[in-house]
Amino acid sequence: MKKIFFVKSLLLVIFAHAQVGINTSSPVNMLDVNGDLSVRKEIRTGGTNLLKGSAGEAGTMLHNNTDLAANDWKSVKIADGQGSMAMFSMNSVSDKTGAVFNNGNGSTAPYSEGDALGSTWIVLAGNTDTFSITNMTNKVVFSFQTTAQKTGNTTSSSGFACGIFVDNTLRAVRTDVLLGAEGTYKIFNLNATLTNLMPKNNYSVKVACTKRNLNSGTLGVGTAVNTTFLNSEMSQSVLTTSVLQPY
Amino acid sequence: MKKLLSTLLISAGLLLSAQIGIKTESPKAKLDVNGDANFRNKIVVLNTTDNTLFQGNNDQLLVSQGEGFPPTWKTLRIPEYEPNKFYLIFNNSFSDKTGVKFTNTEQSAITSRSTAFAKGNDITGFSGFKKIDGLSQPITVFSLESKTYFQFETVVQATFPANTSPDISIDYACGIFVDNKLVNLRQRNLKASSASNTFITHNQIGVVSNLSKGSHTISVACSRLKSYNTTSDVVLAIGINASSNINDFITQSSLKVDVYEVPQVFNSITN
Repeated sequence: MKKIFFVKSLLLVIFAHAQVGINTSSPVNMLDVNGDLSVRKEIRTGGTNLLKGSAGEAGTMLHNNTDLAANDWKSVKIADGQGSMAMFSMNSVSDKTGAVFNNGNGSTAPYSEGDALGSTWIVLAGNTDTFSITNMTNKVVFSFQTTAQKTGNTTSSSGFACGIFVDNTLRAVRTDVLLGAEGTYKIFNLNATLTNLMPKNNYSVKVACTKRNLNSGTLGVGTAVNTTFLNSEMSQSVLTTSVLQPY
Repeated sequence: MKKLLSTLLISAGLLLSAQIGIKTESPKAKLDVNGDANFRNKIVVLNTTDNTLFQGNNDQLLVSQGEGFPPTWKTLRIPEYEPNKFYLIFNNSFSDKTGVKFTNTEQSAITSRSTAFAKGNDITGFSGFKKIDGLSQPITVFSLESKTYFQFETVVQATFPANTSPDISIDYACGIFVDNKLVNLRQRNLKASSASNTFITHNQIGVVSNLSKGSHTISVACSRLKSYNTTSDVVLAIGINASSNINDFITQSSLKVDVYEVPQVFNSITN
């Protein structure tokens, strides 16, 4: 084994074919530093016996490209304006089970923010989700759509409401009425924005619906109750929850 | 065949356990290089979670883990921008529970809707329109090539009695304005039903392209356009309840704004 080893002033030049260990007797790489490494000037990558390695442009970052034999330097930029309020998480859930109401009229009193998820509400089983908030500044946007259909009350109306419950507490609700003949259906939309929820992991979100004046018929929300006009594919419900936060 | 630098250094009179300096007599790290260092091959770091040596997956960057820990290879979680593609840059969403109300006399004087409701018209020409306060909000556009998407929803109610023949109804309209210029408008007819105090959910989606760069104020303004067979006491309410069978929580408005842009200006992610 050939070794050239000379000290000139304070400069130490080592030329070795073997692997070198610092603070280890069994190096596993060409230079194995078992401890911290201090570099007082630029780190260079690549390079040959003839060419200096690259120190990278200022602001670039040490990067691994598996197609290259040595590490390289990468410039990472972000589009102007991104991050002031950005999509932090987004999820959509769908439901084909729906909720069916009958046995007469429900309450027609208005609903209030903070109402508990009581027994008069039926949760759409598939439209449950969770989301997390990590920043004091945030917006939570819910977008819900379903189809409601009535049957068995001839041309009388059927009233209902669907609400968004966060941790089993009502945070947004809309009411609607079906008007028309047997099998009448309509699209129900609920878009709502909540501002600055407290940071927390795993808020639960559920969509639940309740009956109002049914006028003796049967009402389906997110499900078909008269399959002459509608099927479960057409009547399914979708809930999209988006969390916006700055980063 | 492995050969230890330490054995070389012992022969040179240095201690095996000592810190090693290159071009320095007082190294402050296990290996202290007083000058540049070149790596012709990959830099491998210890992954402390499973005690393996790791040279990083493709496209990862070396990230400091702080004092006393080896740096680690991490994947950057921001998009790689491709030219001429739209990216979601600005997004925000606003809500309002105050809404706007219109009595029988607060009706728009506009006669030719097709002329009055043209894109770009200034809000001063929208006689009888009222802004929904909480939805007047700032947005910012950062590129000359952009699409701004609006999704507005509210509840509209009128203090109608049960319907009679001929039908009792009201025409109304809601417009979305940017810097007080119309970008999108929907009009609709609210008709009395068999029950009194009829209400409907109003949905509106609008898109405007290539707003100028910088700050803009968006707003939503609505109006009562025309009433049919209504008595003088019929009130139209948008984004608020007109009658106590519903409330301002049920009728609240939501306005979501997304700005998609082809990014033109890029900033460094480090500072």
